[in-house]
Amino acid sequence: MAEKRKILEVKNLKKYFPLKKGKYKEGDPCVKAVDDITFDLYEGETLGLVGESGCGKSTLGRTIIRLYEPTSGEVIFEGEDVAKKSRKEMRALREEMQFIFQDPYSSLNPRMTVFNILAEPLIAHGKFKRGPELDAYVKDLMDRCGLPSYYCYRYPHQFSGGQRQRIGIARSLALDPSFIICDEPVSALDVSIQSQIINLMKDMQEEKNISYIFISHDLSVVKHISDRVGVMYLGSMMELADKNEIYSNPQHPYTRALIGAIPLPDPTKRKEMKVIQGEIPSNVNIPKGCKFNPRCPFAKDICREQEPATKEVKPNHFVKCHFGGEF
Amino acid sequence: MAKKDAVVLESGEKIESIGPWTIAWRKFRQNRVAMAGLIIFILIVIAVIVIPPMLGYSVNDYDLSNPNLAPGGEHLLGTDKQGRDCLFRLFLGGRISIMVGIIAAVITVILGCTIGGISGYYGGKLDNLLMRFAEIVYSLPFTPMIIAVASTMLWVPQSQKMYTVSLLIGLLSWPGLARLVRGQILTLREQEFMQACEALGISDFSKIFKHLLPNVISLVIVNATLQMASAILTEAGLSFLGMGVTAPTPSWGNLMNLARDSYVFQNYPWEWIPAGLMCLLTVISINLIGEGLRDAFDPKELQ
Repeated sequence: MAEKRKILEVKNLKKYFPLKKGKYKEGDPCVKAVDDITFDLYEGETLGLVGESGCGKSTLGRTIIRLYEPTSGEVIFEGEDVAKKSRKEMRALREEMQFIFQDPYSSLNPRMTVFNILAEPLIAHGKFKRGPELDAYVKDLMDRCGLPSYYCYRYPHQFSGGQRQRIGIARSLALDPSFIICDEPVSALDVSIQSQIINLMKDMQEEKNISYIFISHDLSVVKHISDRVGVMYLGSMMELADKNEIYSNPQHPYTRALIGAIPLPDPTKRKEMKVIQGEIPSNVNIPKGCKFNPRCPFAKDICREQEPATKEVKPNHFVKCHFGGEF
Repeated sequence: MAKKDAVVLESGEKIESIGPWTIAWRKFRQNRVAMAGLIIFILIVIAVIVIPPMLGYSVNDYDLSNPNLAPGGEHLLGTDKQGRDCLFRLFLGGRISIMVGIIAAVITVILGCTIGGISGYYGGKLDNLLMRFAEIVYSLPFTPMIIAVASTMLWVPQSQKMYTVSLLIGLLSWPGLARLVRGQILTLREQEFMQACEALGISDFSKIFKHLLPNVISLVIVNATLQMASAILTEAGLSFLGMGVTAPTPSWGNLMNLARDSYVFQNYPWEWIPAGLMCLLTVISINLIGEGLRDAFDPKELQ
């Protein structure tokens, strides 16, 4: 891992949504969707992000590529701070960083043909002009993504969910980016289609050495595609480690609970499920101390008083828990 | 690459491309009532364009020796008090009435789309300001307002009256459309394909003209159609009261005005009944088209 090149560094990234209208001031009541997150992403790897609904996974993804303006913190992509770019500079940078959306229905404009959907970014970034070269490129792109190129004049509503997601993937690959954020790209699809789409994404990664941030709430899917996995809870990164390490040796009580809740297809191997008690607290009134303490079966006094720092319990295994490394 | 309806494979299989417009047109064609409305409206438009020049009269062709002739003979629909041909005046009046409807609808669409579009797309304070302004215009009592303004504009030359009437109707009717457009754009802005545009680095210009407008246009078309029908009615009402298009230029409204004379009302029905019927037929047919378009563009059935 160490010899790999860092493509993206996220440092103390915060995204707060103020409850009041107007500009955010320190101390205003706000939703802390992304609260002080730091991690690195290496070239050609996949970082899985998991967590419950509302834990800020998608907001993190969107803040990294600046669909949302970060409240504070740095996003350093290829040595440059994305958060400080002007709109114009940002537009040029979009060629390198792309996004795959969750909903294959609302992410495609219903009034454009597939060809136009795929050609638009290419023309907008001046890579091609209308003409036979563009036609050939788009058709090749469709073939690579498993869409028959003779479908290029069809409209999104003439496709199934899986095919639409292929269009979404093709669109994100059109500009040949080096980094893609995938925001639950398969959660709206049937299980049988999910594996096809994930394999397509893996093939593309091998072909072009793309780095992915793969956001999902499905731990099995994340296990399949990721090299490293980060677990998020209420806007914080609770644990971040190598895939095998985190699944075999989870150090945060929350991660343990999540992994314990993965359904197993074999009834004889069914473990005793340790379901987490209670609901995820509101992002406005974040519990004092460790964010997980009200639901943590191991919570001690210190957990209710003091927010734990992120510890590196093993090389490249980070845990945000007072007792990290002791489980 | 030009748009194509279908790609034929070597195997002979046809891959059809069914766009939203094709779907809408197919659904509209299946709607018999709407198609009837469309055919009637097309016939009326052709008639008002073709019939007046065919008859070869002009607005000031008085023939005082032949007043109030009954229908038949040289004058198919008879003549009026000044001996003018009623058929000629009926279709020339139709031209004016339909023109007023079209111009008023166009003004409404331009104002409504621009104001609603800016409001929805940019949001914030500008949105607040524009929408409050729209509410003020919306709350003006439409008919009294138009009568009051029209009566202060008596200095406008009579040949220009139809334009001032259209302008007035347009200027007072845009807030409804502006609100609709704004609402639609607010909804669209949250759709993931708009965020995808941002992520793909697509310019604001393309975002508005390629992504937002095509998704609003169906709503605007339906609204403009219905707006046109109501503008024709408003014009008829105004002209009936003598505040709209005034003689000698005919319009369906001021032809119906002749019925205010009780002698004409009782004895010369050919002078005013046809205008009333034509006006009714036109408004009904436009409304049928509008309803048909509304069903045809129903986004729920696009999936």
